[in-house]
Amino acid sequence: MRALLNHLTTHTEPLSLRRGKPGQLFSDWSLHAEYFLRDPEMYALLALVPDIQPWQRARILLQLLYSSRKGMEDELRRSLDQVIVVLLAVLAVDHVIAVALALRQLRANHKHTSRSIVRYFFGHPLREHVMKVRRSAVVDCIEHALGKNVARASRNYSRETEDKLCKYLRRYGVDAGTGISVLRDLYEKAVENEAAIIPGEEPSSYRLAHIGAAARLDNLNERPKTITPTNRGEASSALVHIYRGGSSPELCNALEQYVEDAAKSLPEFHGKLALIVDASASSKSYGEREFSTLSQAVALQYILERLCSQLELHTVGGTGRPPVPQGATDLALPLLVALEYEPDLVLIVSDGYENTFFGDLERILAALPVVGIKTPVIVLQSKFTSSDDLTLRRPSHTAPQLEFWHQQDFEKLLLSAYLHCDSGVNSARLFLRRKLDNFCCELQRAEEQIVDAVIG
Amino acid sequence: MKNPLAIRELEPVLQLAPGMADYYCGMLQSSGALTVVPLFCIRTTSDATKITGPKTGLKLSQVRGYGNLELANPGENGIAIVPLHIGYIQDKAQNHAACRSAFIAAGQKLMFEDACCVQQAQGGFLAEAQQWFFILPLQLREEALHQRRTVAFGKLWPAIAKLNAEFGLGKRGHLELILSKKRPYLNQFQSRFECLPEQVGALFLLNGKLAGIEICPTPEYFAEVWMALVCFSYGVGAMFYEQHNGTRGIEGDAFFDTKLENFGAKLKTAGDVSVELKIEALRKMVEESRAVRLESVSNSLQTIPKEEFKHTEEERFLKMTLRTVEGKNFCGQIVEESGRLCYASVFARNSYLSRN
Repeated sequence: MRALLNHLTTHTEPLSLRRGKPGQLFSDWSLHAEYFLRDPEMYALLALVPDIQPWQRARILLQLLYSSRKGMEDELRRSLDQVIVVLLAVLAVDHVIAVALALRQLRANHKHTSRSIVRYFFGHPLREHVMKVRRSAVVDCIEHALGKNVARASRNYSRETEDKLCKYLRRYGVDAGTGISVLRDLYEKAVENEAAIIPGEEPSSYRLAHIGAAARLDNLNERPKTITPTNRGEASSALVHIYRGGSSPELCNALEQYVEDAAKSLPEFHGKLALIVDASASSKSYGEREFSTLSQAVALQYILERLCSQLELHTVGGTGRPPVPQGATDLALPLLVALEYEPDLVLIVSDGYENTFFGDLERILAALPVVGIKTPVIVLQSKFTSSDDLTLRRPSHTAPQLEFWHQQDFEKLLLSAYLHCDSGVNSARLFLRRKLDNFCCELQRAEEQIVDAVIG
Repeated sequence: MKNPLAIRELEPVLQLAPGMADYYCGMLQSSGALTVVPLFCIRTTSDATKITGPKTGLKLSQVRGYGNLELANPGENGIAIVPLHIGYIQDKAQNHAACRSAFIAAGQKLMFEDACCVQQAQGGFLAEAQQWFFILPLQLREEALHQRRTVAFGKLWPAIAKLNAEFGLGKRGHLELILSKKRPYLNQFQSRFECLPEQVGALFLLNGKLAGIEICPTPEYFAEVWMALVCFSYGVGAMFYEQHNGTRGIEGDAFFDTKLENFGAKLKTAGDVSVELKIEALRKMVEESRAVRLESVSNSLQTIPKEEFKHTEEERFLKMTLRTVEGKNFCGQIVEESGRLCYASVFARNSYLSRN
């Protein structure tokens, strides 16, 4: 699954509509299909990991709506339905339209497919905007989902046809009155002036309707444009102040609280974890960035101590709590010590500068498979900003290297790391199930609030 | 792990700075083309004259006309030893560097009338407010030392222009081109290498060849001058190798691979071997390969050619003497106090470094 996750976060090819078989729609169709068949739940849950490319989420949605549910357990069906609901909330309308059109082209007409498409377009809060700007595409999508004859029957005003249509629409969980009205608008208002439908509002504002939900799913609520040592997450901010000499009881208590709060929203690790933290002199950094990368690394350490009951810590260079940065960087020998513990996973948190016999870490990592040690070792690189130049800061080209600079990167970082071992995959699955339930509840509450506001 | 690098045993290195027998080596650090061997002092400095570092005990006082750099020691006691080839940079003012070391007593101001201007086309003079300093790039130090006592502010421009051209920059006597345009690269040397507690000096090797010895009076002094040395002096030297000549690994890198291959073959026939034993074997391989690499550095230091050094006394302050040492392959300045070495900045000549 880790290869898929890497693909989902980096592959940006849009979902284009071309005639042909499913595999011709986009280059990575077979990859998605393979992982869906292997573990449908985990495949779907990966869509909830922060920073997945929108077009990859669209592919997951397409895969979930295209595939048959035959033979699936009820619980799995429920999970997949929930993921579909989340994806429809966090994807841009244009992405969803692309998916719906692809489903039409693929002639996918499972019950869950039609129901999801119909509910989405009929229940979208800005459906009038959508139907105005993308009318012909929406008509195609709805006619595919409902059936062309059914959709066009809305233009027949006879009592008997309306009754049949109402009955039909109710099967999709759509309010019959609203449904008929929407269908009639779709066909009859096609020629009206666009701007006249909702005066004062941009017709294309629907394109931003998903932004709030997507930002919540991706933890993008606090990403400063100007980065300072103290706006990269609460725990690291407190640690920077402590490192600068402000170790007051209030600050220490606040740090404890920040760590506890952060740990609640991050995935636990149910296995043996070895953590190597590089607190060598270089991790102190200098100038305005002084202590920043180390503070973020130590924040991760403190949080992991709460997330994993079987964690063994190895600090390189500095000592104390938090470790005072000093000494040279020898990552190779601490790795061997860590491996003696026979952990399920080894994480090396470093600024990336190795100087005691540079290259020894790489040598050890290359030697592990030769001697039959299969424990995954991941290098987690602490940076000051997302755009730090890491050319000279890669101690290994063998081990997977993951990067982080803000506390909000931790979720993706840990999930990506956990997926390298079996116990980690299970931990990630449990966490993502919980996240899915919570996010669905949140969406439900938001919907109820809108209804209340309308009624009120 | 035993560190086989002992200064006492390195006769060829001892000739560069007499009195180095009082120092011992720490574990070497290497990254790219540069290898740094940290030096520590076996004696305490409590009874010696209080010597202040360049950040705390040395202030740029003024630049009075081109080539005249005035430095001051604002302290109330102790003495400042001006690091050899210190230079100051400021926006909108012509940057200057000193071509020699010197003593500045507490409260004293010293005018370097033989300073060199390192920014050919820039007007304005440095002001007291700007105290950011560097040490001249390794490639310029030989020429700068040679030109000490020569009063001509543009004396280093041809060498700077040549160095700029080697880095593909404008052929101008404008050191700022390297120090600013290559700053992101050079700054990283501070992180690629680490200044250790109690460290008072270092041997700097470029692609395994000794490029310089820096020894400071105290760990505090060394910590203050560390960034200027590793980033802007030896860093520029290393950057040239890393960007042009390529980096040559230290001998012994292949040792690990051979051992691993043998061990892997043994494992195939040995059946079940515990993780503990495998890790123990790996640890042994790492330590042995490190010893081989240390030996390789030691051998490289042993091959420094023996030569006669010309010692020229430059200045005295109480019991301290500043001397210029010049040999065929190395040159620099050292300070001795009652026969004991307390400051040294001795570096390889360009002809020695470029020789295969």
